[in-house]
Amino acid sequence: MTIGAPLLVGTAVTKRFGGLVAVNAVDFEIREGEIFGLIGPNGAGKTTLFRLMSGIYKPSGGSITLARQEIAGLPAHAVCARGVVTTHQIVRPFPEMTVAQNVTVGLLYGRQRLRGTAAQAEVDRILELTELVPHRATLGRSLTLARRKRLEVARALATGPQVLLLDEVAAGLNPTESARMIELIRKIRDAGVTIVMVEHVMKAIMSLSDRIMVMDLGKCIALGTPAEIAKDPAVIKAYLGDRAVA
Amino acid sequence: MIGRLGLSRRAQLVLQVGLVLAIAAAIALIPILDERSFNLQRIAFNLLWYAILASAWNIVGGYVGQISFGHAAFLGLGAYVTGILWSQTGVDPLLTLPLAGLVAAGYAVIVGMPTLRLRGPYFAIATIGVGEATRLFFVNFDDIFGVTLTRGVTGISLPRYDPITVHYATIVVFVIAMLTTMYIRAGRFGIGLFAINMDADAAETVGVPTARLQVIALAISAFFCATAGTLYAARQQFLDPATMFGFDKSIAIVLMPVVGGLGTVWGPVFGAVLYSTVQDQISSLVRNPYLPAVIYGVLLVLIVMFEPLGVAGLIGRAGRIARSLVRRRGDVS
Repeated sequence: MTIGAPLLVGTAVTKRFGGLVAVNAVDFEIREGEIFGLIGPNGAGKTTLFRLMSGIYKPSGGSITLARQEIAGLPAHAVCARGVVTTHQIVRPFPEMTVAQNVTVGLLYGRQRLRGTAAQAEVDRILELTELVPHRATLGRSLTLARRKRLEVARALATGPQVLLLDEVAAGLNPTESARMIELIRKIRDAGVTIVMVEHVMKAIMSLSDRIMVMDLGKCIALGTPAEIAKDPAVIKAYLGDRAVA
Repeated sequence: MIGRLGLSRRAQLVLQVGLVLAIAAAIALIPILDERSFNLQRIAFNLLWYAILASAWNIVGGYVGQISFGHAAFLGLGAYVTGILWSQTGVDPLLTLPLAGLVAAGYAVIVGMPTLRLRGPYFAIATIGVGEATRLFFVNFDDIFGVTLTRGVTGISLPRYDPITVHYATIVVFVIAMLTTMYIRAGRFGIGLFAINMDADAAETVGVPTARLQVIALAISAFFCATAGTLYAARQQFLDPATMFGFDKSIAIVLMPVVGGLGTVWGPVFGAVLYSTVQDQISSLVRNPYLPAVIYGVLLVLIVMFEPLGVAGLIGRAGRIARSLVRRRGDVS
């Protein structure tokens, strides 16, 4: 997969909650076809930035564009219809719907708006990709955590996104499950979907990301390839404190 | 997709539509078989009338899961649109039915846009406010506008209208209301409403326009409640705010679908059967006007405790037990 032109671009994106500046004038440029990692200590503003990108929050300032079209300020469902969709850090499948029905919601209301047999075929394809075929008739509430996380991805994928925002989809998984998730993310990218991921599981983010942005206290403190980030003094300081740098 | 009774979804839908038409046909026969069967006609009217209200409420309360305690506002609004037009201009009341529905739907959009942002108990409390405010508005309507239209608490007396015509109109509205709730439940709109019901935030992020869908659902719900108001006006020849906008009406509209089976197509109908029967039989047997409410309250507590899916849930459970019995007998032989 070759990395293309800037797709999702933020300029001086800011979010204030009362006196707290959760995201402070952050610039980002996510390019078509890349896997863009977002890391940082707890409270750095990663999830807030995700919610700004997906329209769950309205920014207090700055602009976010998708393929040069302004999306900041649009409600989440409209942002989804343009092609940016997020998964939830705390998984939220529709509990009383089957796995297949959960995916169908994304198909009916997302960017693709598929219906009838086309929708049916797409449900099959997505369940196949996310390895949920044996559980298609299981209710959302009876799934294990690993399957819920994959359903979260499947449902988001069903909306037909250009940019898929993955919020800690590997967190809480055991090493086998985590490896399957990494594999799935790579497959989704290879199918042409640009991916932005927040992750605390370093193995996942380091092995998958083309570029990583590091946030601390609402600001971007470093940006580069995984190898560059690992050596960056500012990053080490943010994670381990002052003395570690010396 | 294979659903209940092992039938395909299409076959189930055909079966359900058939059932609605069969009920409609049976009730349509009543005045033909015996034109003087006034008591039976009254029972049938009450049954269908409550079923229309309960099914309409269920679109918002059952499908979306937004419990409204103010639906009498839409019922009363429909009744008064018809009552005022009929008494002032002499226009045929049944011709005002679509207008009554649209006025209530418009009102639902106005009150729904702010209130449907709330969820759970907050929405419920807001709807109590809407219901009561609407009642007080109609009590004081003439004073506010300096006219003589609603006559405040005294109410409007209306001319006599052919009850047989109302009987058939009620059947038609019932059929349309049932087909509408079935159509919504089976389609894209319905799956969106259920997604909002289960997790509104998750629904929004996968593209469901949660605000718009909820307002549309409330408008459809209000439309059918208002048509029930029109039918009432045409049949009862008298309207007053205490009856049409009464909080007891709002409660009844909530109770029927809850007792019958929230979010199901037939639950509200079961609830309406139970409610109208309890109302009718108990009040004719015992003179105490509070007894039906007590009996209904006890029923409600029992159902919520033991079978939250109501009568529809009980029937489903009975079906499963019956099937397991059949299977067990099959094993023995």
